[in-house]
Amino acid sequence: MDIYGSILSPFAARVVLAARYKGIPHKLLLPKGGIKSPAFLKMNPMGKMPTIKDGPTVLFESGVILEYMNAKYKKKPIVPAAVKAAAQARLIGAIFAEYVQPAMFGLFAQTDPAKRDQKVVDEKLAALTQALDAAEKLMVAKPFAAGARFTIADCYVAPALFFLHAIIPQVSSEPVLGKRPKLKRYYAKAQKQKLLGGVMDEMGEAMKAYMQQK
Amino acid sequence: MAKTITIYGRIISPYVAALILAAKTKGFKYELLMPKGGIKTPAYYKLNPFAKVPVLKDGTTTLYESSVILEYLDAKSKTKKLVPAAAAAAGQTRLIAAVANEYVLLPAIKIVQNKRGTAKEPVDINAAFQDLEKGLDALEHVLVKGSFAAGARFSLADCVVAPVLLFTTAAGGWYEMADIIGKRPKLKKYWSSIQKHKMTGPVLKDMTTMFGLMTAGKLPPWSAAQ
Repeated sequence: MDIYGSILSPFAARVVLAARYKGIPHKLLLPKGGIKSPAFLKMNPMGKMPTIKDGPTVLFESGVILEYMNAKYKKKPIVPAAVKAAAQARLIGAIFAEYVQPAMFGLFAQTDPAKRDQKVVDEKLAALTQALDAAEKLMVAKPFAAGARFTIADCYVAPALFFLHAIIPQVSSEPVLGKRPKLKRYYAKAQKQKLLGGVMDEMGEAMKAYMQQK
Repeated sequence: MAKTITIYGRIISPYVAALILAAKTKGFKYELLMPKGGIKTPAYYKLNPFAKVPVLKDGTTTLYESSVILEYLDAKSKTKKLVPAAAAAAGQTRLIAAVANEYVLLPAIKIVQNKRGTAKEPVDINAAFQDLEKGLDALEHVLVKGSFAAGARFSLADCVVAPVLLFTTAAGGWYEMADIIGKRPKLKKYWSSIQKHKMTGPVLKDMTTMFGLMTAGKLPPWSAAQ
Protein backbone atom coordinates (compact mmCIF):
# COMPACT_ATOMS: atom_id res chain seq x y z
CA MET A 1 0.00 0.00 0.00
CA ASP A 2 1.25 3.46 -0.88
CA ILE A 3 0.54 6.03 1.80
CA TYR A 4 1.08 9.60 0.63
CA GLY A 5 1.92 11.76 3.58
CA SER A 6 4.53 12.84 6.10
CA ILE A 7 4.89 11.38 9.59
CA LEU A 8 4.90 14.91 11.02
CA SER A 9 1.28 15.33 9.97
CA PRO A 10 -0.99 13.95 12.69
CA PHE A 11 -3.46 13.04 9.94
CA ALA A 12 -0.89 10.85 8.17
CA ALA A 13 0.47 9.51 11.47
CA ARG A 14 -3.01 8.05 12.20
CA VAL A 15 -2.83 5.99 9.04
CA VAL A 16 0.79 4.93 9.63
CA LEU A 17 -0.08 3.75 13.14
CA ALA A 18 -2.91 1.58 11.84
CA ALA A 19 -0.77 0.13 9.03
CA ARG A 20 2.04 -0.75 11.43
CA TYR A 21 -0.27 -2.21 14.07
CA LYS A 22 -2.05 -4.37 11.52
CA GLY A 23 1.19 -5.35 9.80
CA ILE A 24 0.08 -4.04 6.39
CA PRO A 25 3.09 -3.77 4.05
CA HIS A 26 3.28 -0.10 3.06
CA LYS A 27 5.45 2.72 1.81
CA LEU A 28 5.16 6.24 3.19
CA LEU A 29 5.97 8.69 0.43
CA LEU A 30 5.39 12.18 -0.92
CA PRO A 31 3.78 12.59 -4.36
CA LYS A 32 6.20 13.27 -7.20
CA GLY A 33 5.44 16.76 -8.43
CA GLY A 34 3.70 17.67 -5.17
CA ILE A 35 0.12 17.61 -3.97
CA LYS A 36 -1.14 20.07 -6.59
CA SER A 37 0.15 18.06 -9.57
CA PRO A 38 -2.46 16.78 -12.05
CA ALA A 39 -1.53 13.17 -11.21
CA PHE A 40 -2.11 13.68 -7.49
CA LEU A 41 -5.29 15.73 -7.98
CA LYS A 42 -6.65 12.80 -9.96
CA MET A 43 -6.29 10.68 -6.84
CA ASN A 44 -7.47 13.39 -4.45
CA PRO A 45 -9.15 16.45 -5.98
CA MET A 46 -8.71 18.31 -2.68
CA GLY A 47 -4.92 17.89 -2.99
CA LYS A 48 -4.47 16.71 0.58
CA MET A 49 -2.62 14.03 2.46
CA PRO A 50 -2.95 11.33 3.57
CA THR A 51 -4.14 9.65 0.41
CA ILE A 52 -3.64 5.94 -0.16
CA LYS A 53 -3.34 3.68 -3.15
CA ASP A 54 -3.86 -0.01 -2.50
CA GLY A 55 -3.96 -1.82 -5.82
CA PRO A 56 -6.86 -0.25 -7.73
CA THR A 57 -8.28 1.38 -4.58
CA VAL A 58 -7.59 5.07 -4.03
CA LEU A 59 -8.94 6.74 -0.90
CA PHE A 60 -8.42 9.89 1.15
CA GLU A 61 -9.66 11.39 4.46
CA SER A 62 -7.82 9.67 7.30
CA GLY A 63 -11.00 8.39 8.98
CA VAL A 64 -12.11 6.73 5.76
CA ILE A 65 -8.68 5.16 5.28
CA LEU A 66 -8.61 3.76 8.82
CA GLU A 67 -12.00 2.09 8.32
CA TYR A 68 -10.84 0.71 4.97
CA MET A 69 -7.70 -0.79 6.49
CA ASN A 70 -9.79 -2.39 9.18
CA ALA A 71 -12.28 -3.88 6.69
CA LYS A 72 -9.73 -5.00 4.12
CA TYR A 73 -7.11 -6.55 6.40
CA LYS A 74 -8.90 -8.77 8.88
CA LYS A 75 -5.96 -9.51 11.16
CA LYS A 76 -5.74 -7.44 14.33
CA PRO A 77 -8.96 -5.43 14.01
CA ILE A 78 -8.79 -1.82 15.21
CA VAL A 79 -12.55 -1.44 15.60
CA PRO A 80 -13.94 -3.57 18.44
CA ALA A 81 -16.54 -6.17 17.42
CA ALA A 82 -19.05 -5.13 20.11
CA VAL A 83 -21.31 -2.36 18.82
CA LYS A 84 -21.09 -0.14 21.88
CA ALA A 85 -17.31 -0.52 22.27
CA ALA A 86 -16.87 0.28 18.56
CA ALA A 87 -18.87 3.49 18.97
CA GLN A 88 -16.84 4.55 22.01
CA ALA A 89 -13.53 3.98 20.19
CA ARG A 90 -14.76 5.95 17.17
CA LEU A 91 -16.13 8.76 19.37
CA ILE A 92 -12.80 9.20 21.17
CA GLY A 93 -11.18 9.47 17.73
CA ALA A 94 -13.79 11.97 16.56
CA ILE A 95 -13.25 14.22 19.59
CA PHE A 96 -9.54 14.47 18.78
CA ALA A 97 -10.19 14.99 15.06
CA GLU A 98 -13.03 17.49 15.37
CA TYR A 99 -12.24 19.41 18.56
CA VAL A 100 -8.75 18.81 19.96
CA GLN A 101 -6.82 19.22 16.73
CA PRO A 102 -8.61 22.32 15.39
CA ALA A 103 -8.01 24.13 18.72
CA MET A 104 -4.41 22.88 18.70
CA PHE A 105 -3.73 24.11 15.15
CA GLY A 106 -5.34 27.42 16.04
CA LEU A 107 -2.69 27.73 18.77
CA PHE A 108 0.08 26.54 16.44
CA ALA A 109 -0.59 29.69 14.37
CA GLN A 110 -0.02 31.78 17.51
CA THR A 111 3.37 30.47 18.63
CA ASP A 112 5.30 33.53 17.40
CA PRO A 113 5.09 36.04 20.31
CA ALA A 114 5.63 38.95 17.91
CA LYS A 115 2.49 38.12 15.93
CA ARG A 116 0.40 36.76 18.77
CA ASP A 117 -3.22 37.78 19.31
CA GLN A 118 -3.84 37.01 22.99
CA LYS A 119 -7.62 37.07 22.48
CA VAL A 120 -7.34 34.27 19.91
CA VAL A 121 -4.97 32.34 22.20
CA ASP A 122 -7.47 32.56 25.07
CA GLU A 123 -10.36 31.44 22.85
CA LYS A 124 -8.43 28.48 21.48
CA LEU A 125 -7.19 27.49 24.95
CA ALA A 126 -10.80 27.52 26.18
CA ALA A 127 -11.86 25.34 23.21
CA LEU A 128 -8.96 22.99 23.94
CA THR A 129 -9.97 22.72 27.61
CA GLN A 130 -13.52 21.81 26.59
CA ALA A 131 -12.24 19.22 24.08
CA LEU A 132 -9.77 17.61 26.50
CA ASP A 133 -12.45 17.47 29.22
CA ALA A 134 -14.74 15.60 26.80
CA ALA A 135 -11.90 13.24 25.86
CA GLU A 136 -11.01 12.61 29.51
CA LYS A 137 -14.59 11.57 30.17
CA LEU A 138 -14.53 8.88 27.47
CA MET A 139 -10.93 7.70 27.65
CA VAL A 140 -10.21 4.39 29.33
CA ALA A 141 -6.39 4.51 29.25
CA LYS A 142 -5.82 0.96 30.46
CA PRO A 143 -3.33 1.41 28.89
CA PHE A 144 -4.77 2.09 25.43
CA ALA A 145 -7.24 4.86 24.70
CA ALA A 146 -10.36 2.68 24.58
CA GLY A 147 -9.23 -0.17 26.84
CA ALA A 148 -6.78 -3.06 27.03
CA ARG A 149 -6.14 -3.17 23.28
CA PHE A 150 -4.94 -0.86 20.58
CA THR A 151 -7.90 0.55 18.60
CA ILE A 152 -8.74 3.20 16.04
CA ALA A 153 -8.89 5.67 18.97
CA ASP A 154 -5.13 5.38 19.59
CA CYS A 155 -4.47 6.31 15.95
CA TYR A 156 -6.00 9.73 16.72
CA VAL A 157 -4.96 10.26 20.32
CA ALA A 158 -1.19 9.60 20.29
CA PRO A 159 -0.25 11.90 17.35
CA ALA A 160 -2.45 14.69 18.75
CA LEU A 161 -0.87 14.38 22.21
CA PHE A 162 2.59 14.54 20.68
CA PHE A 163 1.66 17.80 18.96
CA LEU A 164 0.00 19.28 22.02
CA HIS A 165 3.19 18.81 24.02
CA ALA A 166 5.19 20.52 21.27
CA ILE A 167 2.83 23.50 20.96
CA ILE A 168 1.13 24.31 24.26
CA PRO A 169 4.27 25.20 26.28
CA GLN A 170 4.91 27.93 23.69
CA VAL A 171 1.59 29.67 24.34
CA SER A 172 0.68 28.78 27.94
CA SER A 173 2.45 28.12 31.24
CA GLU A 174 -0.26 25.70 32.41
CA PRO A 175 0.48 21.95 32.37
CA VAL A 176 -0.44 20.59 28.92
CA LEU A 177 -2.94 17.97 30.08
CA GLY A 178 -3.95 19.76 33.27
CA LYS A 179 -5.42 17.60 36.02
CA ARG A 180 -6.77 14.88 33.79
CA PRO A 181 -5.55 11.58 35.26
CA LYS A 182 -6.54 9.33 32.36
CA LEU A 183 -5.00 11.48 29.64
CA LYS A 184 -1.82 11.91 31.73
CA ARG A 185 -1.54 8.19 32.40
CA TYR A 186 -2.16 7.46 28.73
CA TYR A 187 0.54 9.84 27.53
CA ALA A 188 3.10 8.54 30.04
CA LYS A 189 2.50 4.92 29.01
CA ALA A 190 2.24 5.65 25.30
CA GLN A 191 5.69 7.23 25.25
CA LYS A 192 7.13 3.92 26.49
CA GLN A 193 4.96 1.73 24.29
CA LYS A 194 6.82 0.39 21.25
CA LEU A 195 4.40 1.34 18.49
CA LEU A 196 2.93 4.57 19.90
CA GLY A 197 6.20 5.76 21.41
CA GLY A 198 8.04 4.89 18.21
CA VAL A 199 5.74 7.01 16.07
CA MET A 200 5.83 9.90 18.55
CA ASP A 201 9.66 9.75 18.52
CA GLU A 202 9.67 9.85 14.72
CA MET A 203 7.31 12.82 14.81
CA GLY A 204 9.73 14.52 17.22
CA GLU A 205 12.66 13.92 14.86
CA ALA A 206 10.65 15.22 11.90
CA MET A 207 9.64 18.29 13.91
CA LYS A 208 13.29 19.02 14.76
CA ALA A 209 14.29 18.73 11.11
CA TYR A 210 11.38 20.99 10.13
CA MET A 211 12.32 23.66 12.67
CA GLN A 212 15.94 23.64 11.50
CA GLN A 213 14.81 24.09 7.91
CA LYS A 214 12.71 27.06 8.98
CA MET B 1 -40.99 -4.74 21.75
CA ALA B 2 -37.89 -2.92 20.58
CA LYS B 3 -36.99 0.17 22.57
CA THR B 4 -37.43 3.56 20.94
CA ILE B 5 -34.27 5.42 20.01
CA THR B 6 -34.21 9.13 20.83
CA ILE B 7 -32.54 11.52 18.40
CA TYR B 8 -32.09 15.09 19.60
CA GLY B 9 -32.17 17.75 16.91
CA ARG B 10 -34.27 19.22 14.14
CA ILE B 11 -34.62 17.98 10.59
CA ILE B 12 -33.15 21.18 9.11
CA SER B 13 -29.71 20.02 10.23
CA PRO B 14 -28.26 17.72 7.54
CA TYR B 15 -26.40 15.90 10.33
CA VAL B 16 -29.73 15.15 11.98
CA ALA B 17 -31.48 14.31 8.69
CA ALA B 18 -28.75 11.74 7.93
CA LEU B 19 -29.60 9.88 11.14
CA ILE B 20 -33.31 10.00 10.37
CA LEU B 21 -32.68 8.45 6.95
CA ALA B 22 -30.48 5.77 8.52
CA ALA B 23 -33.01 4.95 11.27
CA LYS B 24 -35.86 4.78 8.74
CA THR B 25 -33.87 2.54 6.39
CA LYS B 26 -32.87 0.19 9.18
CA GLY B 27 -36.47 0.08 10.44
CA PHE B 28 -35.71 1.37 13.94
CA LYS B 29 -38.38 2.97 16.07
CA TYR B 30 -37.21 6.49 16.85
CA GLU B 31 -38.39 9.83 18.13
CA LEU B 32 -36.92 13.14 16.99
CA LEU B 33 -37.07 15.94 19.52
CA MET B 34 -35.36 19.10 20.60
CA PRO B 35 -33.94 19.04 24.13
CA LYS B 36 -36.16 20.81 26.65
CA GLY B 37 -34.79 24.30 27.18
CA GLY B 38 -32.63 24.13 24.04
CA ILE B 39 -29.08 22.89 23.56
CA LYS B 40 -27.36 25.13 26.11
CA THR B 41 -28.81 23.61 29.28
CA PRO B 42 -26.75 21.71 31.90
CA ALA B 43 -28.80 18.58 31.15
CA TYR B 44 -27.93 18.72 27.44
CA TYR B 45 -24.25 19.50 28.11
CA LYS B 46 -24.23 16.21 30.00
CA LEU B 47 -25.32 14.40 26.85
CA ASN B 48 -22.96 16.32 24.56
CA PRO B 49 -20.27 18.51 26.13
CA PHE B 50 -20.03 20.45 22.84
CA ALA B 51 -23.78 21.27 23.00
CA LYS B 52 -24.48 20.32 19.40
CA VAL B 53 -27.07 18.25 17.60
CA PRO B 54 -27.52 15.42 16.92
CA VAL B 55 -27.30 13.33 20.06
CA LEU B 56 -28.53 9.76 20.10
CA LYS B 57 -29.87 7.99 23.16
CA ASP B 58 -30.43 4.27 22.84
CA GLY B 59 -31.05 2.69 26.23
CA THR B 60 -27.86 3.27 28.22
CA THR B 61 -25.89 4.37 25.16
CA THR B 62 -25.46 8.10 24.54
CA LEU B 63 -23.52 9.24 21.49
CA TYR B 64 -22.74 12.42 19.59
CA GLU B 65 -20.96 13.16 16.26
CA SER B 66 -23.21 12.09 13.39
CA SER B 67 -20.58 9.96 11.60
CA VAL B 68 -20.05 7.92 14.79
CA ILE B 69 -23.82 7.54 15.24
CA LEU B 70 -24.34 6.43 11.62
CA GLU B 71 -21.80 3.63 12.07
CA TYR B 72 -23.46 2.70 15.36
CA LEU B 73 -26.92 2.49 13.79
CA ASP B 74 -25.57 0.38 10.95
CA ALA B 75 -23.75 -2.01 13.28
CA LYS B 76 -26.79 -2.30 15.57
CA SER B 77 -28.65 -4.60 13.19
CA LYS B 78 -27.53 -6.85 10.37
CA THR B 79 -30.51 -6.12 8.13
CA LYS B 80 -30.38 -3.40 5.47
CA LYS B 81 -26.68 -2.70 5.78
CA LEU B 82 -25.79 0.92 5.03
CA VAL B 83 -22.11 0.12 4.50
CA PRO B 84 -21.33 -2.56 1.89
CA ALA B 85 -19.48 -5.69 3.04
CA ALA B 86 -16.68 -5.45 0.45
CA ALA B 87 -13.81 -3.30 1.75
CA ALA B 88 -13.26 -1.21 -1.41
CA ALA B 89 -16.99 -0.47 -1.85
CA ALA B 90 -17.26 0.36 1.86
CA GLY B 91 -14.29 2.71 1.49
CA GLN B 92 -15.90 4.50 -1.46
CA THR B 93 -19.22 4.79 0.40
CA ARG B 94 -17.58 6.36 3.44
CA LEU B 95 -15.42 8.60 1.23
CA ILE B 96 -18.48 10.05 -0.54
CA ALA B 97 -20.08 10.79 2.84
CA ALA B 98 -16.87 12.36 4.20
CA VAL B 99 -16.40 14.59 1.13
CA ALA B 100 -20.03 15.79 1.35
CA ASN B 101 -19.68 16.59 5.07
CA GLU B 102 -16.19 18.13 5.01
CA TYR B 103 -16.04 20.00 1.76
CA VAL B 104 -19.62 20.75 0.72
CA LEU B 105 -21.56 21.12 3.96
CA LEU B 106 -19.03 23.19 5.92
CA PRO B 107 -18.89 26.04 3.35
CA ALA B 108 -22.68 25.78 2.87
CA ILE B 109 -23.18 26.25 6.64
CA LYS B 110 -20.93 29.32 6.55
CA ILE B 111 -22.99 30.75 3.72
CA VAL B 112 -26.23 30.22 5.63
CA GLN B 113 -24.78 31.59 8.88
CA ASN B 114 -23.62 34.70 7.03
CA LYS B 115 -27.17 35.39 5.86
CA ARG B 116 -28.63 34.60 9.29
CA GLY B 117 -26.01 36.63 11.15
CA THR B 118 -25.16 33.67 13.38
CA ALA B 119 -21.52 33.15 12.32
CA LYS B 120 -19.04 33.15 15.20
CA GLU B 121 -16.31 34.67 13.03
CA PRO B 122 -16.69 37.05 10.07
CA VAL B 123 -17.44 35.14 6.85
CA ASP B 124 -15.56 35.85 3.62
CA ILE B 125 -18.56 35.08 1.45
CA ASN B 126 -16.68 34.88 -1.85
CA ALA B 127 -14.16 32.47 -0.37
CA ALA B 128 -16.99 30.37 1.08
CA PHE B 129 -18.67 30.11 -2.34
CA GLN B 130 -15.32 29.19 -3.93
CA ASP B 131 -14.82 26.48 -1.31
CA LEU B 132 -18.33 25.24 -1.98
CA GLU B 133 -17.68 24.98 -5.74
CA LYS B 134 -14.47 23.09 -5.06
CA GLY B 135 -16.26 20.76 -2.68
CA LEU B 136 -18.99 20.07 -5.23
CA ASP B 137 -16.27 19.27 -7.81
CA ALA B 138 -14.72 16.80 -5.37
CA LEU B 139 -18.12 15.25 -4.68
CA GLU B 140 -18.73 14.88 -8.43
CA HIS B 141 -15.30 13.21 -8.65
CA VAL B 142 -15.99 10.56 -6.00
CA LEU B 143 -19.68 9.91 -6.74
CA VAL B 144 -20.35 6.51 -8.33
CA LYS B 145 -22.54 6.17 -11.43
CA GLY B 146 -25.87 4.54 -10.68
CA SER B 147 -29.19 5.33 -9.10
CA PHE B 148 -27.64 6.03 -5.72
CA ALA B 149 -24.61 7.97 -4.48
CA ALA B 150 -22.35 4.93 -4.14
CA GLY B 151 -23.85 2.84 -6.95
CA ALA B 152 -26.84 0.57 -7.40
CA ARG B 153 -27.96 0.46 -3.77
CA PHE B 154 -29.06 2.92 -1.12
CA SER B 155 -26.20 3.35 1.38
CA LEU B 156 -24.71 5.47 4.11
CA ALA B 157 -23.55 7.81 1.34
CA ASP B 158 -27.17 8.65 0.48
CA CYS B 159 -28.05 9.29 4.13
CA VAL B 160 -25.37 12.00 4.12
CA VAL B 161 -25.31 13.34 0.55
CA ALA B 162 -29.06 13.86 -0.03
CA PRO B 163 -29.56 16.16 3.03
CA VAL B 164 -26.27 17.96 2.29
CA LEU B 165 -27.42 18.70 -1.28
CA LEU B 166 -30.81 19.89 -0.03
CA PHE B 167 -29.13 22.27 2.40
CA THR B 168 -26.64 23.42 -0.24
CA THR B 169 -29.18 24.11 -2.97
CA ALA B 170 -31.43 25.90 -0.44
CA ALA B 171 -28.44 27.98 0.72
CA GLY B 172 -27.68 28.87 -2.92
CA GLY B 173 -31.33 29.73 -3.44
CA TRP B 174 -31.18 32.16 -0.53
CA TYR B 175 -28.51 34.03 -2.52
CA GLU B 176 -30.68 33.85 -5.66
CA MET B 177 -28.49 31.18 -7.23
CA ALA B 178 -30.93 28.93 -9.01
CA ASP B 179 -28.48 26.21 -9.99
CA ILE B 180 -25.59 25.68 -7.58
CA ILE B 181 -25.09 22.08 -8.71
CA GLY B 182 -24.43 23.32 -12.23
CA LYS B 183 -22.82 21.25 -14.92
CA ARG B 184 -21.81 18.27 -12.86
CA PRO B 185 -23.49 15.37 -14.68
CA LYS B 186 -23.36 12.70 -11.95
CA LEU B 187 -24.49 15.08 -9.22
CA LYS B 188 -27.22 16.58 -11.39
CA LYS B 189 -28.67 13.20 -12.23
CA TYR B 190 -28.39 12.02 -8.66
CA TRP B 191 -30.02 15.12 -7.22
CA SER B 192 -33.02 14.95 -9.53
CA SER B 193 -33.64 11.26 -8.81
CA ILE B 194 -33.01 11.19 -5.04
CA GLN B 195 -35.64 13.91 -4.48
CA LYS B 196 -38.22 11.49 -5.89
CA HIS B 197 -37.04 8.52 -3.83
CA LYS B 198 -39.90 7.20 -1.69
CA MET B 199 -38.11 7.45 1.61
CA THR B 200 -35.63 10.26 1.01
CA GLY B 201 -38.12 12.52 -0.79
CA PRO B 202 -40.38 13.20 2.24
CA VAL B 203 -37.39 13.87 4.51
CA LEU B 204 -36.03 16.38 1.99
CA LYS B 205 -39.49 18.00 1.81
CA ASP B 206 -39.55 18.39 5.61
CA MET B 207 -36.09 19.98 5.42
CA THR B 208 -37.31 22.38 2.71
CA THR B 209 -40.27 23.43 4.84
CA MET B 210 -38.05 24.17 7.81
CA PHE B 211 -35.52 25.99 5.64
CA GLY B 212 -38.40 28.19 4.49
CA LEU B 213 -39.21 29.01 8.12
CA MET B 214 -35.58 29.93 8.65
CA THR B 215 -35.34 32.27 5.64
CA ALA B 216 -38.60 33.89 6.81
CA GLY B 217 -36.97 34.49 10.22
CA LYS B 218 -39.45 32.18 11.93
CA LEU B 219 -37.11 29.43 13.10
CA PRO B 220 -36.19 29.71 16.79
CA PRO B 221 -32.44 29.55 17.51
CA TRP B 222 -30.96 26.24 18.68
CA SER B 223 -30.50 27.64 22.16
CA ALA B 224 -34.18 28.61 22.55
CA ALA B 225 -36.44 26.75 24.94
CA GLN B 226 -38.79 24.51 22.99
